[in-house]
Formats: sequence, structure tokens, C-alpha cells
Amino acid sequence: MTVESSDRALIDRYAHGDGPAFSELVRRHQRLVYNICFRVAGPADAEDLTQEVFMRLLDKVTQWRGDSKFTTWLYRLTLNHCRDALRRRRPDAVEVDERLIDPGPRPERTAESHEIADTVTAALMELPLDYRAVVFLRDIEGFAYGEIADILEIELGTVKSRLARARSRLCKMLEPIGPASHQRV
Amino acid sequence: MMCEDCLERLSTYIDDELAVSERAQVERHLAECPDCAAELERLRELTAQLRAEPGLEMPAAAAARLDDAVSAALRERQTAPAASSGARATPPWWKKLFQPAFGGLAASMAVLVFAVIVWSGGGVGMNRELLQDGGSGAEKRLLPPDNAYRGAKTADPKTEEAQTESSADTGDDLGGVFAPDESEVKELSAPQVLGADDGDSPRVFARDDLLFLSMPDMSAVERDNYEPIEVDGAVDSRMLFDRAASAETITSSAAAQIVAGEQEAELLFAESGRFEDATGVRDAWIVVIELNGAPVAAAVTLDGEVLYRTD
Repeated sequence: MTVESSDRALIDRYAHGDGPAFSELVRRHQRLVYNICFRVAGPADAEDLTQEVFMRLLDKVTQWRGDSKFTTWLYRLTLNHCRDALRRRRPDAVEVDERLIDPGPRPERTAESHEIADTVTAALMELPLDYRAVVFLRDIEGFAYGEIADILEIELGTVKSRLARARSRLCKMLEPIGPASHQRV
Repeated sequence: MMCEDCLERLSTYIDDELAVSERAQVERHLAECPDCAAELERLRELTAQLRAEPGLEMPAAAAARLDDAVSAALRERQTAPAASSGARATPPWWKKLFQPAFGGLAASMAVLVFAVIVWSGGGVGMNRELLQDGGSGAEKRLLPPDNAYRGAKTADPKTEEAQTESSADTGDDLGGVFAPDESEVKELSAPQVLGADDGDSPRVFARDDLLFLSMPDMSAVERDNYEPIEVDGAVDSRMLFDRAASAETITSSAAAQIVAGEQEAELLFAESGRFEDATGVRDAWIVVIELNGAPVAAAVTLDGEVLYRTD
């Protein structure tokens, strides 16, 4: 049985009153949902948002009609929830981003890779959510353009342009001095 | 190709998603432009860094809290059907929606009431299908989802109770699954009756962007006592329909076509439901079609028998 068909089986069981089947679905996908929330909405809210997404899923899971992969649908549900949450976010919640960008005094770092990873994460959090989402899906999760278009419900051309702009911004953020001015060819 | 054009395409280029001709143009430009080639390298480094970002494990304590929260929510839902037989303080929304209207209805008469909630916008909803008699057989044309239809159904309270009990076995407690947020409740204006309002015919009436169907016994006061609730449930119903259809039963559009006969009709609404008459309660499509300019509602069994129609 494929993961997809077993997702279907779990949802069918839940729809017929089998609560533990939903719990199994949660355990199966909580890592995925948590990663989206962490990367897209920020670490401070990741746990709360993950829980909210699954509470929402409890009511909505039977709406999944199988015309897209369950994980695609779940990504969409999660990203939409993150977007709604960020819209509602108050200034105190925004501090999360500030802290990421300027983390203040840190413990000694022993591995350079940690520095790089933190810097990238921080830069990512500086992007607008729509840009962050597309970078997360493509560069961290490795989705194909078509799948990203499907998850975000945007045109393929929009995926390309958002990704190009987002990456360009990230490059600039990570290299504040920036490239030398271009000679037009 | 100018640098600007090249830079715009570099992101797509590194993902190997450019068209062949564009790719060749970019590569020609890169071969002669060190600045753009450097930008390409920067992009490659960036994507490599992002790819190296580790997948995150949910902290064990957070995972445990999530598990507890889900279990609690599931327990709450599981207790709802039993409570609805009498002990429940507030009835499920789909009972509340219609209960005031049915206090005086005779238990023996066939009762069919449902609400159709029509959004003028929105991207989800049921297929709006136009049924046409094409001469050599019926032609079905799908229209774009310019309107989203969302609906709820119910029968009289006694039937409801029986249905709730029977559905408890299968876990199909629609009240639990579909319960909307309180924020979705909104005030509506006075109903405007569409079509015949002679006191004998079933009425279809509109309140703002909602459509309701009522039985003749329903008084104006009862109509007005409908608790207006926007229901986020049609997609769930459609899934139930899809399941029913896959089990070698007719589709909603086929049910509508049976009701329309040889005439041209537009399917306004379809909902999976149960219909009660003297022979008992049966699973049926509840459809509303526009026939000769007037709405006609009907209940059609999944094997195509018309149990009830309002005209």
C-alpha cells in the first residue's frame, strides 16, 4: 500500500468514526507540518501553529477529495493557515523575526556550517511570506515547479518569478556588499 | 541577450526549467559575461546552502502536547452524537438551523427541507452543471465555478434523531464534522420568495445570498426563524457523493437529468441526503434544478428512483 493510499484509508476510517486513525494521520504528517510552520511562520509559533493546523484538519480532512496528493493538500492547508496567522499577528509576535535577524550574544559556535545555516534561516525569515514559501518548497523541500504551483495555487510563471525575486533578495541579504555593478553586454 | 534579461532567467536556469531556446541564449550570455556568471555562482551557492538546511524534528514535548490535544478533540467529537439524543445542551448547528420550522409538522408526511447557500465568489463549491437535451441524447456541460454552492440538509426532528443514531454507527455525524465557527453566523435580511407563493407549493426563497427551500406547512414566522448560518460543508458532501457514485450509483447530474426528463434544466444545487416517506428513510440525492424558469427540488435515490419532487 502506498503512503497516499494509506492516507486515504486512514481518512476513510476516521470518516467512519475511527478516531485513532486520525491520530495516526497526525503522527505521520506532524513532522511535515511542523517544518512548514517553523520555516514559514517562524520558530516561536511553530508548535502552536502545528497544533492549530491539525485542529483545522480534524474538521476539514474529509474535504480532501483525492484530486491532488494528500500531502499537497496538507501543505496548502498549512501554508494558508500560516498566512492567516501572520496576518493576525500582533507586534509582540513580530519580535520573533527581529530576534532571528539579530540574535544577540550567542554561545560559542564550533561549526562554521551552523553559522551559515543560521544566517540563511534568518535571511529567509526576512522575506515576505509568499517568497519564503516558494523558497522553502523549492530549495528546502525540493518540490518541482508544477507541484509548487499546485500547492500555492498560483501560475507556473508566478512560481518562477517569485522564486527568482526571492533568491535574488536572499543573495543580496547574505552578501550585503553585493556584486559589482554590471557591465551591460 | 542583455544582463537584465539573463539575470531574470538565472533562477529558472539553475533549476533547469528554461525552454531550450532560452537556455541556449542564457548560456551564450554567461560565456561572455563574467558578472552574470558570478551571479550564477552566487545563486548556486545559495541553493546549496538552502538544500543543506536540515529537516526539523518536532520537539518530543511539543509532539506529546499535540497528541494530547488531538486526542481530546477526538473525544469531544465522539461524545457529541450520543449527547445529541437528548442530553446535549445545544443541538448541532444543522439541527438548530431548521428546528424552529418543524414544530408543527405531522410526523407522517414526507418532509424535505434544505438550505442552499450561494456565494457569489469563492473558489470552492459544487460543480454547477447545465443539463441540456441535445436531441441525440442529453449533453452535460460543466460551467466554471463562478459561484460556490454550499449547503445543509435536514428532515424533521424525529427523523433527525433516527438519522443521528444510525449515523453514529458509521461515524457520519455531520454536526460534529461540519460545525462552523460562530464567526460565520451572520444576520440576513427578510426573505424574498421566488416562484410560486400560493401557500400550497413548496417555496424557494432568498435571503441575501442564501437560497432556502421550504415546505408549504412552514409559516412565514417559521421561515423567519431560520437561524442563518453559513455552512462550510458542501465539499464534504460532494466527497460523500463521489463515494456514492463510485459504488455504481448515479451521479448528482444524472439524478437532476432524471428529474428534468426531456426538458432543458440547470442544476442549481445537489446534496447527498436521506429522504423519509411512508416506506422509510432512504439515501437520496437532493437536487434543485431550474426547470422552465422555476426551481424544482427533488429527492432521487442513488439508483435513480424519484421519491419526491416539488412540482
